[in-house]
Amino acid sequence: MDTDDRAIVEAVLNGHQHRYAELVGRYQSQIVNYVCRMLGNYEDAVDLSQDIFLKAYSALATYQPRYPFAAWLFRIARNAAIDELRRRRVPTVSLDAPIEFEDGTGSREVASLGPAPDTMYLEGEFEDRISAAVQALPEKYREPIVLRHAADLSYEEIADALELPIGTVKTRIFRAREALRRSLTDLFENESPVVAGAETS
Amino acid sequence: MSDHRPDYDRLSAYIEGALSPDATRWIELHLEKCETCREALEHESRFLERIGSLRSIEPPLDFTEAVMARVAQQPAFQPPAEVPWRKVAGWSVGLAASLAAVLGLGAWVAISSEAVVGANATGLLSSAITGLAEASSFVISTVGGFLSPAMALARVGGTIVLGLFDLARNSGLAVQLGVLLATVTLNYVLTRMVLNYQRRQ
Repeated sequence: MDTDDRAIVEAVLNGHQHRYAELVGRYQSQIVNYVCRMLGNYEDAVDLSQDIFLKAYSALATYQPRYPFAAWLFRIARNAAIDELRRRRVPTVSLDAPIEFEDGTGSREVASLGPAPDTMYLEGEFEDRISAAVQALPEKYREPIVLRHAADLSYEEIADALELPIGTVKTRIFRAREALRRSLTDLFENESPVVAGAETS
Repeated sequence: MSDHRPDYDRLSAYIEGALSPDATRWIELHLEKCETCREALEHESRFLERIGSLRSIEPPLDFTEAVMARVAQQPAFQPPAEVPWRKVAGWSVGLAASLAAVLGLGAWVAISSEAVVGANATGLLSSAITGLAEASSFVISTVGGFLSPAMALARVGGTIVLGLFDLARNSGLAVQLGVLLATVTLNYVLTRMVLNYQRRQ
């Protein structure tokens, strides 16, 4: 598959611009899923994904065929997603931090992101809960888990895209899954009781 | 049922086929006799399946067309007018040096040989051919050998041809022509080998 990618890149660089559509078609789903899970908004993700493919086209002459094309493309996607997240970032406050009232200090009351524990989940709700749990992960864990499960990249491709050793990538993915198992315990309670004790031996 | 806690990281790596053959065999043997881990494996499969819902987002149907419409506004890449420099880097300088040195050294050998002193035209031609071949070999074996590790191949080839020249020196014109042809062929083959080597780098 990757050899084909290189052949297509070579054809595009040789003036066959229309063949770039093959690369877009091949990676659009992975890129849109990745960006959407990073940004948390579909419309924004689609717009940014288009920008990413345009940036990749403009930079195509700098692609070095000795690296997998997917990893190169996802490096561009990652930079674009991070830039967008930084651009949007607004000052935040911890939900656990105490808040001062005129008559003393109290705590914030915030509605739960998920439905009540006794709610029966439908498929869409499962997805929403999982998506929200992923969004809540710290960035260094969210990125690799999204690349693995939303973009369907292999560990090697993730290591190339994030420019990290493969051992670090695996560790972060395992830690992210551990956090997801904990935060989604109630989601799986009806399926299996084992999840509550999810720890490594 | 054993009382140890399942290693979820290893189980998920097993499900994803990311374990070494030895580790895979070990875990399969363990699963045969450990009910706790069998249940955990079942749960982990469902967990990964659920997390897989992160890639459920579909790009809009006209996504590729939208990207290509923007790509079309960019100028198409122009095919390179000549062989890209990468393909000839390393040996092109050597080749130019070879030609210059072959002509120079060949002329020198021909002029300084006994043919010039008083032999006939055939002798002069014979000496010129031998001189050209020897000079070519000299250049291949020295200049080529120092240009890159790959061209050490050329050095070995050059040494072999040099031995053939010594045998051919006292032979007839046909043998000398044959040796010259062999030199040119060898030069071509070695150049192709170096080219292929550089492409793989």
